[in-house]
Amino acid sequence: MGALFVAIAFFGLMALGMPVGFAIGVSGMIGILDMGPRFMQMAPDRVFAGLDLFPFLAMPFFILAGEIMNRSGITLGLVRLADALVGWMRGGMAHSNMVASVMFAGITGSATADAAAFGNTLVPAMEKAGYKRPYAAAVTAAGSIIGPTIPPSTLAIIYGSIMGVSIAGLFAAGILPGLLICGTCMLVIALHAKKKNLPKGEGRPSFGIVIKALREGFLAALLPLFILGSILGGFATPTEAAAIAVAYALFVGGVIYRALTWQDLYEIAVRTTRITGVIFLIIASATILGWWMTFNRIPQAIATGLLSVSENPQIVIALILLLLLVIGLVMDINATLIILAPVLAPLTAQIGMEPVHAGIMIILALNISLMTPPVGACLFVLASVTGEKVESITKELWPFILAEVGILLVIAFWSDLTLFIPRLLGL
Amino acid sequence: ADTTIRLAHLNPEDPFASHSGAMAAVFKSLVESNSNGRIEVQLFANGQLGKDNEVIEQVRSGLVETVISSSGGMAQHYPLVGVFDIPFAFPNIGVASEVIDMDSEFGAKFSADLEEKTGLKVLGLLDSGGFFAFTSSKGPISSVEDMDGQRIRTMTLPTHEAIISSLGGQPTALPWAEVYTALQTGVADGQMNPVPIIAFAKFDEVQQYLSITNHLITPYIWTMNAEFLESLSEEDQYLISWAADVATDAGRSMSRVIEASEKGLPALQGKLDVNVVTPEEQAKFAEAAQPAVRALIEESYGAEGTEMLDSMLSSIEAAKYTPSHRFGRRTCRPSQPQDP
Amino acid sequence: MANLSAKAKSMSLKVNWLVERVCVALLVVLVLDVWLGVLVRYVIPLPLTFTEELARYLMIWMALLAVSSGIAYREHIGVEFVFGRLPAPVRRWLAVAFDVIAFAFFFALFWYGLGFAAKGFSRFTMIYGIPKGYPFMGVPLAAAMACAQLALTGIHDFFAKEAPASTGVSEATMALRENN
Ligand code: NA
Ligand code: NA
Repeated sequence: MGALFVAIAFFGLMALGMPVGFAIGVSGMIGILDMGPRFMQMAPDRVFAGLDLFPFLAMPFFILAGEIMNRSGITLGLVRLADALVGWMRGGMAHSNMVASVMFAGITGSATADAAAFGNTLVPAMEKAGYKRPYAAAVTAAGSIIGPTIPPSTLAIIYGSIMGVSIAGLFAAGILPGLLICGTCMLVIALHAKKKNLPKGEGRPSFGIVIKALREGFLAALLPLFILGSILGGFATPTEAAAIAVAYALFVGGVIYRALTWQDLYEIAVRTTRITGVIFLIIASATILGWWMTFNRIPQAIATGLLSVSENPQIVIALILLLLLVIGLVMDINATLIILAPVLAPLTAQIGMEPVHAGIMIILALNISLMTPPVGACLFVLASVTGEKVESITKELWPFILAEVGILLVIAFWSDLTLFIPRLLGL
Repeated sequence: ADTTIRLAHLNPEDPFASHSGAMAAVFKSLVESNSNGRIEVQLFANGQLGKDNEVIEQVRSGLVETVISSSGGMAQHYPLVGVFDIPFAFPNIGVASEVIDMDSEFGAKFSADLEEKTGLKVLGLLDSGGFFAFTSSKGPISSVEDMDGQRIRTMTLPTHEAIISSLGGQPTALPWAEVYTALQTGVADGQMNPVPIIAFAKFDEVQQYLSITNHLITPYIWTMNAEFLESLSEEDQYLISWAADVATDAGRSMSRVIEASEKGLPALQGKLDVNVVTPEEQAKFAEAAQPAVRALIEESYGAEGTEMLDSMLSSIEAAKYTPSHRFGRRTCRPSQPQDP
Repeated sequence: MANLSAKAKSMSLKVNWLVERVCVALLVVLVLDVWLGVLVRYVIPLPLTFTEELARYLMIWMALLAVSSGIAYREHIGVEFVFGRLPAPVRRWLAVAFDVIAFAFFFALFWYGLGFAAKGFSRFTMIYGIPKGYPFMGVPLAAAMACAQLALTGIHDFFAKEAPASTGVSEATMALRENN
C-alpha cells in the first residue's frame, strides 16, 4: 500500500512539474511516514548522510572553476583555439566536445563533475560558435558518461571491492567501451551535421591564425594538462584536483588576465552555491527515497520478480540491462550498485559471464541511466548550469541515448571485445 | 514470522568473504530454524542502510534491530573504543582472541561500560580481521628508519595519525573511496589495514610491499537495541544470546581462515614483497610509538580512558602469562605461552 | 493584492541577501580548507588531518542553505512538459499546491531535524571530538530557511497578477543570466 502512494507521489508530482528535488523527497518521506512516525527521523538523517561524501566536492569545484574561466575570458581563448582547429568542419565544436570528454575522463571518475565542468564552459562556448543551447547541452550530457567509464572510475572501485573483482581489470576493460561511446556519439553528430545544419566556419584557417589562437588559448588549453599532471604526479586525488583547477583558473583569470573584479568573484560564488544547492537537494532527496526502498527490500523484490522470467542467458542479460536502466531511473547509481550488484553478479556467473565483463556491463548500464529522464543526475546538472529546460535537452539527447544503449548491447553480448584490453595487459 | 530482526553489517553477504558475512549467515540460520520460523532475520550487507556510525544510530533509535560494526563507526558513539589504538599492545593473535572477547575480564568490563553509555546491548566482541599491516610502494618497512618520510594513509583518527608521526612517517588522511586511486598515483606511498581488507580492496594492484608489523588490532562490535531484546520472551532472548555467541566464534574463525587462504596472505604473497618485522625491531617500534598514543588517549579520554586502557593492558599481560589450556574452549590460542 | 505579492517577493529577496552571503563565506572557507589539505601534504608537512572531514561539513552546510536561495530564485529544476501547457488558473493553483506540499516536506525536515541534531550531540566527530550535533544543525536550519522562502513564494504565487509560467527558472532569472 505504502509503495503505491510513493509511486503515485513520485510520478504524479514529477509529471505535473513539481521541481524534481522536492518530488523525490516528498515521495520518499511518504514512504517513511507509512512505516510509522518513529521512522521520520531518518529523513534528516539521510539528507545529511546522502551528502556526506568527500568526492561530491568535485562538482561544486568544477562549477566554480568553469564560472571563473567564463568570466575572465579563459573560455573565450579556448573557443578561439577550438574554432581555429576544428571550426572549419561542420559540427567541429560538437566533435571536439566529445574528444574533450575522453580527455577529461582520465581526470575524473564522476559523470556529474564532467557535466558540471563542461556544461559551464563548453556549452557557452558552443553557443558563441552558433550552436543551439539544447543541442550543446545534449552533446555534453552524452559525453559526460565517458568520464566514469574510462578509468579512473568510482563505480568500478565500488564494484571491484564489493564483488571481489580486480579493479585494475575493470579499469582496463572500461577503456574500449569509453572510446566506443565517443566514436558512436561522433557518428551521431556527423549524421546531424547536415540534417540540423550545425555551424561551420569559413574554410580551413591559415597557419598564422592557428598560431595566434594557440598563443591566446594556450593558458586555457594548459588547464586540463595541469589537472591531469597534478593527479598523475601524485599531488592530488581526483577530488582535490578539482580544487586545484579552481586555483589555476583564479591565477590565470585574476593575475595573468587581470579580468576579475571582486564583484565578479562574488557573483561567481553565488552562482556556484546555488547550482550546488539545486543538484545536492536532488541527491539528498534521492537518499531518503533510496533508504525507504532498501529498508523494504524493493530493488531485490523487483529483481527477483523480473529475473525469474527466464533462464536463457541472452534473455537474462537483456533483463539485467532493463532492470538497471529502470531502477537507474529513480535511484542514485551508487546505491543501486551496492544493493543490486550482489543480486546480479551471481546470476551473470551462472550464465557463464566473466566477472570483469559482467562488471563493466553493469557499470555502463548505470552510467547510461545518469542521463535518461525523468531522473538523470547529469541531465539535471546540465539543466541547472545552462538554465535550459530538461525536456528541451531531452529532445536533442535521445539519438545519443539510443546510440549508447546500442553500445551497451554490443558490450553485453560480445565479451571478446570488452575483454580485449584486459587480456592484452594480462589482467 | 512474528518478529523480524534486521541485521546490518559493512561487508559482503557471502559468508566465506568476511567475518561479519559469516556471523550474519550463522546467526540467521540458527535463529530462524530454532525459533521454528517465529523470528525472521533479514540481512543488510555492504552497508546498504548507511555508513557504520549511521546504522548504529538507527539501532539506538530502534529502527534497525542489530548491527555488526567496526571500531571506527562505534568511536562516534562510544569514544573509549579508542583504547584499542595503543600500538603493539597485543603480542600475537592468540592473546588478542582471548582478550577481545565478551567473556574475558576486560571484554566484560568494556561491554558493560559501552552498554551503560549507549543503551545498546553487546552481542559479540571480536577482532576486525587480524592485525594491521603496512603496504607501500616506496619500500619495505622493517625498521623504524624505513618509515622516514613515507606518506601513509590513515583514517581521520588522531591516534592513528600519532602512530605514523611518532614513527617518522607523514600521516595522510584520505577518504576510503579515494584510497585506491591515491595509492595508484602516489598521493600516498602506503596505507595500513588488516590483511583481509588489503586483499579485499585490491591494494595489491597498486602497491609493491607488504610489511607484517602487527601494530594494531581493533575490535568489531556486535550490538542490538536493548529495548527490542527485552521485549522478546525469555526463551527468545536466550536463543539470540547463544546464537550470537556461536556466530561470533564462527566470525573469528572465518577471519583466520580468510587470512590463511587465497583471500588473504597466500594471495598477497604472490603479488607483493612480504616481510615480517622481527620481535627486536617490533620492540623499537613500540618504544617509538606507544608514549605518544598513550599521552593522546590520556588527554582525550581522561581518567576513565586511562583506566580502561590499563584494564586492557593488564588483561593482555594476564593472557600472556597464564594462557588457558583447557581443551574444548572455543578461542584458538598458541599451544605454548609466549614471552613478550 | 498584487501589492502583497510584491511585498512577499521583496521580503524573500531580503532574507536571501543574508543567506547568500553566508553561503559564499562557507564556499570560500571550503576552497581554502581543501587547498590547505593538499598543501600540508607537500609544502608544509603538518599532521593536519581534519581538512577532509571539515570539507564535507562545509559543503553540506553550503549546499543545504543554498537550497532556499534556489527557491527564492525558482532555480529548482522540474520537468515542465505538462505544466507549461496548462491554462493559467490551473497553473496558479498547481504552483501554490507545490509550494504547500514542499513546505510540508521542509517543515518535517526541520521538525525531525531538530531531534536529529539534538541526538547528534551524543556523537562525536573525529575533529578534536567536536559533537556531531553542530554539523547536523545544518539540516534543520536549512530546512527552516527553505520553509520561509516557500511561504513567501507561495504568497507571491497566490496573489501575483500573472499565474507563474514555470515552476523552475523564471523569465526574470533567465534575463539576468543572459546579461552575464
Ligand atoms: Na574516468
Ligand atoms: Na536516469
